[in-house]
Amino acid sequence: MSYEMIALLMFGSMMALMLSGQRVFAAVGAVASAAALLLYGNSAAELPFNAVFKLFSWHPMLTLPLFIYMGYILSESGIAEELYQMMHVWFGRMAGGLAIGTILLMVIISAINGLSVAGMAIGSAIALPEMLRRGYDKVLITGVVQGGSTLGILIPPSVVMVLYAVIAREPVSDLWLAGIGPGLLMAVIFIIYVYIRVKLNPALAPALSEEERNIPLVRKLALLRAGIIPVVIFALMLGLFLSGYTSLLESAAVGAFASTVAAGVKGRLSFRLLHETAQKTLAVSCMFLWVILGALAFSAVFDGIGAVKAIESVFITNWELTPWQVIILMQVSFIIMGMFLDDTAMLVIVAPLYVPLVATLDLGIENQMIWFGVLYTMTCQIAYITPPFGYNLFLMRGLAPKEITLVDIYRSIWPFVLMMMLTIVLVMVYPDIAMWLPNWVNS
Amino acid sequence: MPAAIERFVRMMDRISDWVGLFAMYLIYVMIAVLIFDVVTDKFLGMTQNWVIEFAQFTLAAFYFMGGPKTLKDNDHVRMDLIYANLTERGKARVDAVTIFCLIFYLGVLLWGSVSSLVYSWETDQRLPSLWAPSLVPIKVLMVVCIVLMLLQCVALFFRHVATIRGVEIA
Repeated sequence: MSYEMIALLMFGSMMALMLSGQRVFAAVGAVASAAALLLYGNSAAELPFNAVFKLFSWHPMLTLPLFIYMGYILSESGIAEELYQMMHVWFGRMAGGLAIGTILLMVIISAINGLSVAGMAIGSAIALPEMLRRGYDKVLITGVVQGGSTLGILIPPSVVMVLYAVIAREPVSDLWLAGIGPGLLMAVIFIIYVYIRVKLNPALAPALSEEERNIPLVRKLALLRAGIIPVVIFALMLGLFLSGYTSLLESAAVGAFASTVAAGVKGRLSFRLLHETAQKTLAVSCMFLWVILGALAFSAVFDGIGAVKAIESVFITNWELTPWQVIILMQVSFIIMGMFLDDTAMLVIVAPLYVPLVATLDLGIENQMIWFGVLYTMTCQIAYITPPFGYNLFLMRGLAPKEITLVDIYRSIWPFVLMMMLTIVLVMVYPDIAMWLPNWVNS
Repeated sequence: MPAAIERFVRMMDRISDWVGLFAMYLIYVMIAVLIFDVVTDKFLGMTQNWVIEFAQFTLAAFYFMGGPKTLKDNDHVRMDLIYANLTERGKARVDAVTIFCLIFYLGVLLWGSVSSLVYSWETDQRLPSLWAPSLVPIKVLMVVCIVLMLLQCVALFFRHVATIRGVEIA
């Protein structure tokens, strides 16, 4: 059997098994194990287990549970409520101010946690009810919360980027720096969109009442204090790390510790909170780590049979695609796959297939693996929110107030998906949007 | 379902919970050790050469010991394109078959882990570092956890069969 056939068979059976609804890590691991045993006989029995020690030696991996922990404890700490109040008062006067304030709130929350779940939970539990009460258009604000919360994986710290960095063997710091530009650009595009929509149709976002708008300056300034804790956590963690004072792992621990202290300062720290946070952290970390374990075994077999070379020859030699066409094809395939897969499942595909392939392409971009990592992260954002199967869609249904129906949720995301695609195109055309910051820091 | 099977399923669930309970508190061990490292290294100038390796061992213990509990609690991500629309019984029917993929994967992992443990034991394998800890204890733990995950899969299989028959094992 040719290697192309084996590769196709492995991918096909993996997809079929995943479609059955069995746990993703089981599907990937089983196919990898079966392929290893069939190809190399009993001597390959250790191959799936060896992935454990490959993972063992990757230090960035150690930060994963720490960032997950941090996200959970911060969303319970009450910091978000105060931040929302601050945004509410400061942006209340603007057209669509509460929606714009919510986007900024999401940016701040993204800067202190690595997943999009926390932003999602905070947005739907705190911001949505307040905006609904003031007569904001529910489709618009549902989209704002969903689109905004996905910034969590693009703005550092980002768990998705840690996973990508581990697989692509690139420094996490460069990836994180590269995410800042596109993340802020995306937020600005969201804000401009909301502003224009509200200017064209003021009924989407009624102005606040007179008394809500005329808040004395003293109180406004007092509310600014809410911003202090996030800034301190962000500065402690990312400042120490980017300045090279502490390692990534140490910074993650500092962040986790600082958020626990912040919860204590806010009087939310209790044994129950610590217990529940530990439990959620274990569940989410195990989910990620076991998927990666399976994916590593899969890509070890895949590398062994030279599958990447085979696919490369199909793309470049048989189809005569230019490197840029290959990249565009990858992005399109990712966006389509993202409708059906979540980011962990996409990682299983990107690990053995796309990362080695991109490494061989000549695009004329310095540090193109970092640049591709940013594109990958943005497609993961789209994957989070696109129907029929988006992670955020399900969360939203569980968390949002009852007035918001599934139809509203589905209708609300499309403008945001288009804006994310626009950002992807911009970063592809102008790689410097992502790359100037890491290049500047490294020079 | 025969009483012996019900007892086994309940016992496995309890074991998974206890092992998972221990595992989840390891996150605080990790944070504490790393903060200790930052304080002693940056403020007191005493470099700790065992901290990173200790954190590596803790992470490995964390997700291996969390394995049985997260299987039991159904915390692992599934691609539920079709699955989500099935009835409880339909899900149980599919799972009762496809769980053998998981059992197969865990079986190969067990095979590999035992042979890797034997190697470490015979050659007294240590991490190449100043601290040079032995790899035997963590590999023993991994083998035990994989066995527990396999037993949890068997328990899950019985649960699925019970659901198909229209009974629940409480």
